[in-house]
Amino acid sequence: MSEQPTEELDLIALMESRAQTYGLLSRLFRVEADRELLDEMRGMRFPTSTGNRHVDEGYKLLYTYLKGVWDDSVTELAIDYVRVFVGHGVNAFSAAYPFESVHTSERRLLMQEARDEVLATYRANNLKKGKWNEGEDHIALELEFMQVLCGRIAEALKADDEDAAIEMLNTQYNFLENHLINWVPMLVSEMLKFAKTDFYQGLGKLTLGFIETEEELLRDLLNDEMAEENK
Amino acid sequence: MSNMTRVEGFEFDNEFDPLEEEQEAFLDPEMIDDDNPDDIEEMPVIPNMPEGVVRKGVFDANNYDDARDALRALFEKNPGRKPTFLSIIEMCENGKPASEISREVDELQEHNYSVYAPMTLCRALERAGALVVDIPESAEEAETNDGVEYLEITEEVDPIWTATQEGLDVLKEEREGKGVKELFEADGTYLAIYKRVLEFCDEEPRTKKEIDLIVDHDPLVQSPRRYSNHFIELLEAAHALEWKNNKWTITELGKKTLATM
Repeated sequence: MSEQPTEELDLIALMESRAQTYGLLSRLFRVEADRELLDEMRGMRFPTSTGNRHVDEGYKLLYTYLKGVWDDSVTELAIDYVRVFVGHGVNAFSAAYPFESVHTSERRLLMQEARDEVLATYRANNLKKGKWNEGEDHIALELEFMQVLCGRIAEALKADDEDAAIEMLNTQYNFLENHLINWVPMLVSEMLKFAKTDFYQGLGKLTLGFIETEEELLRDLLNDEMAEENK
Repeated sequence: MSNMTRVEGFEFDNEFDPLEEEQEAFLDPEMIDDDNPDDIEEMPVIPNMPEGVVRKGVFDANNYDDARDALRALFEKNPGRKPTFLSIIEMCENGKPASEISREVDELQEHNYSVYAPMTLCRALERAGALVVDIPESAEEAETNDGVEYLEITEEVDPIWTATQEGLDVLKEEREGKGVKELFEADGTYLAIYKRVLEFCDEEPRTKKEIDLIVDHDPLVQSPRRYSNHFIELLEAAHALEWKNNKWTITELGKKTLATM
């Protein structure tokens, strides 16, 4: 195995760390938290000053909830999950619906243009839905798409395939700009209205802050690359 | 890969055909008719629905002025859980950590499984005013590593549940047989049947089929028609019988009651 320069190793570690964060956020949006997940999260370290206000607030809220976890927490979170993402009304304003189409279509309907677009992007990247049986523009699936690409970029870097890594970084940037950044702030603002636990309040803020930092990071990485090419 | 970051939603498709058509129907917003009330999404949310449509919960502690009444109503609505409720109040007389309650309640319900988690039962008792919970605040622990400050969780929280005086009052009256007395007063016509069932189960735990044989053919239960279920369920609610090892078993209270009959 050839030795990789330190800068490349750092980039690989960065991609793996991004994949982990996307994976965690995706899991938290996908279904209710169970005890195993809560115990695993209690073992995490929560940075207090990352440079992004939303990330810091999100981590603090999650930490506050998780340090008080006890036998009743799984039930409490299951109730809050339903309150936040499923709701009990019959119109489109009774919960923070986790589908992009609801937030980007005029009539707040499911399965609209946004869903067709993300489906096309998944397909273009050789992905099809596995155990998923809801709309493909669900926040959990969009985050998982970013997670999968982070993993692939790390693999490409390990194989010294820089062109493939850059192409996938571009795909991530476009997906972030055209989708996540476009609707997650609206989703989070609704989550903050409905969530009664610090856990889901924190998840909302952390997600918002994380995609903000992701936009900056991807822009920086791709700008550096373009500057390198223009030399 | 940890549970937190496992890829669940996607499968990797090596034989993916990008030209394959999606066989799913799309809802076209243009097709929605604004004048058709069934066809638009702006319908009233459930909380704003007319009073007559709103269904109240089976049990709502706010409907009672006194916690004792709320608790009796909770038992009445959940007769199958009554023995567990009473045991929880009893174990919390001097306060008990939630983790111990969970373990003991799971043991108690070994033969009478409930879909409700032990803490859900405690929450129901709390709403009825029979228990209070004290959740301790855990301290905030920060650590600095390579100049970066992190918060870490080092303590376990185990809240203490304690029975209220109202809860203990209702427990005492139930343990002294108030439920059985009230049952026999209200359903006195069938006293002989109740006694027969208790004596039968006192000999040894019995199956439902065995109890059927000593009840269902009695002239007393022919009109109005009563079946053994009726007597078993009411004796269980009064905590004179319990379901154990797949058989109906007499309780200590049942034995005490039988001695006075």
